[in-house]
Amino acid sequence: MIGLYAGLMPAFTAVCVAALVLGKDFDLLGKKFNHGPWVLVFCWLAISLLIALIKRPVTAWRAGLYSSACVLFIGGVAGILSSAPHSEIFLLSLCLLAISLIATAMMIGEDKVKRPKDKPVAAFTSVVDVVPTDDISSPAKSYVESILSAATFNAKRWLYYFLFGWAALVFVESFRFAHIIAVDPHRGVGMFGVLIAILLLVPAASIVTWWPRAASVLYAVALGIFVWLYTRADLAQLIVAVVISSILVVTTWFLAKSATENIALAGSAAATAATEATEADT
Amino acid sequence: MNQRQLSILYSLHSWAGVVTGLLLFIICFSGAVVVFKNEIDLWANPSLKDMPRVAQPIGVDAVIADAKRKYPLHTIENIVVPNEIYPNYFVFLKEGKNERIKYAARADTGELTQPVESQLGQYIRVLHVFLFFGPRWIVGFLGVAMLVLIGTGIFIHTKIVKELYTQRWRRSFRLVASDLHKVAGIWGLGFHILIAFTGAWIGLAPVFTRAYDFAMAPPATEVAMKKDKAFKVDKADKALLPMLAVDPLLTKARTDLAGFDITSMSVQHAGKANAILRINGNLDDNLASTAHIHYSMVDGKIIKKHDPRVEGFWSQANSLMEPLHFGDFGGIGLKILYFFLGMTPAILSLSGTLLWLDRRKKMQRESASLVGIPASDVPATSLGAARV
Repeated sequence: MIGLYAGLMPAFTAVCVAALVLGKDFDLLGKKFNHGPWVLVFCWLAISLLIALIKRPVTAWRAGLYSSACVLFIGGVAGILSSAPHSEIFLLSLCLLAISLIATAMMIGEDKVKRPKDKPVAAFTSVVDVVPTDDISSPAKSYVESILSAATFNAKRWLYYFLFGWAALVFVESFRFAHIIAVDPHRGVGMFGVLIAILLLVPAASIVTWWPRAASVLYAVALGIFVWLYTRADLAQLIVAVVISSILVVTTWFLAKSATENIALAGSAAATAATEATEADT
Repeated sequence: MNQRQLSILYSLHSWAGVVTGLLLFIICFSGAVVVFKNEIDLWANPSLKDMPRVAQPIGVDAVIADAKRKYPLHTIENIVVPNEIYPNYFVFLKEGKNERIKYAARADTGELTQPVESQLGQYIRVLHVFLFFGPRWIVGFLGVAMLVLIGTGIFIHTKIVKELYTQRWRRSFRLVASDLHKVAGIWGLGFHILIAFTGAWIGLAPVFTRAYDFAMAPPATEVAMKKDKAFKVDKADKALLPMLAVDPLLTKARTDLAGFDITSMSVQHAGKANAILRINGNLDDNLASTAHIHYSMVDGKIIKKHDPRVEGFWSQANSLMEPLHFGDFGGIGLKILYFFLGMTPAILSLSGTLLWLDRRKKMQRESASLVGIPASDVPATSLGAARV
């Protein structure tokens, strides 16, 4: 991850400088439209990989910043050498940027870091991690109850995964309708599908852990739009969407009670994490 | 706001940030650079330095005539007129199905010189607007994600005034990154909302428009028939008709649309009965960017005229989105400001992701210590704190 972030700027500046130096020999967007983008992607991944090989994170960051500064400086000089328009202003600007990157690279470093105090911290809770945990609050349970509790736990976990999977599926199929088939009624349905996936299904899947009934309402809105779309375009996929949306409306609505009870525990852990992030730092 | 709501918003902020962080970093970084698109395009083409700048450029018809003479098999797709940055015309010629070549043409004679060396500015713009490969609305949805991040971020950072001035250097990386995240987020808040909103609007407008058109259109079979009929008329009409000259139509456009400052034009269906000259431009003393007028190239009649000044609220709002997003209406000073402010969301996505990674690794270290795994076996944190 660090490599991808730290590698973007040197890759980007390297491609820009290559475009200036090579001119027509480096066709960015002209005859072969897909050529230029792949060069940047390849450069980015290659530099990211090299940076990722550096084990110390600070050194990795420094490598990214120094290499960007170096390429920026080369770009400025290359502009002067090729007599490019506004080359003097670009040289000055790029050198200033390069100096600021070098300064940043010099400011970070292990000598500036104080070792953080070790103290117990509550487990971090992400959207997927915060799943109902029935058995935490229960005092003593029988073997059968434990089995049932574990089964419920797993079922709910898989439900949360399914919700995101469902949103992704709707998105992909809508994209296919909108841009690959690209003829009405598929295109129109696809455009609606994309909007439903991103603006209704993803938010619903994100908040279902805490606000299942709000998520249920979002699924109900999606259901309504799918039904309306089915009246406009007789597509088999819309029947599937209507059926699954109906199930999700009901499931998430009745999930509300148990989820609310269980989230209280997980919520307290997340609250500790949030508090620590927002206040303990200060 | 109680602890539970705070924790939920914190989780949503983290979740949305981690999922979209890298893409937002690319979009914001390229967006900050693309503010200088025209300047970069000029810089990347040393041959344009020799182009003369003239007070009164020659008419577009001279450029078209030279293009037809030199490249008779190509189709003229678009012409960009000289402006305060470029001293020359740009002509986009299409050869075959996908080959689109950009030529420079002298403003004094209209002569096409050669294909430009590089389209670096446009390349960066394509990265920012389309992420190279995708449709524009993917970036639009990232704008929505940015709005969600801004909204949740405002609520979880309740001590806004205090955090406005809190940046502690020479402390732990986590603290420096955390302070930087908050300071950059709060100081750039207004700009971030502006950029995210206008970006989301520009990116999602085509999706909403097409969805709306589909909702309002007659049943699918009628649409298909109409489309098919139009296609047949176009194909059947093979005889080339004489076309009107472009320069008189440009003069007429300046009269038909008061204060119209022409920036580019394109011709559709040249030589056919439905040939159209599409003229785009800006309006004097107005930010609106969507003004355009279309003429029939057979009889010179107005086919479509769009003057945002006299349109409704939504049309006026739409016409303001691009200038507000790209900051190209206030000269170089505004562009520099947009560049630096545009870098702050990139810093936010970077620092936010690093904080999350650092926190995650820290949790892993602490969990490992509980079960007796040596600390040296746990990977270093993204901010480097584990190894020092």
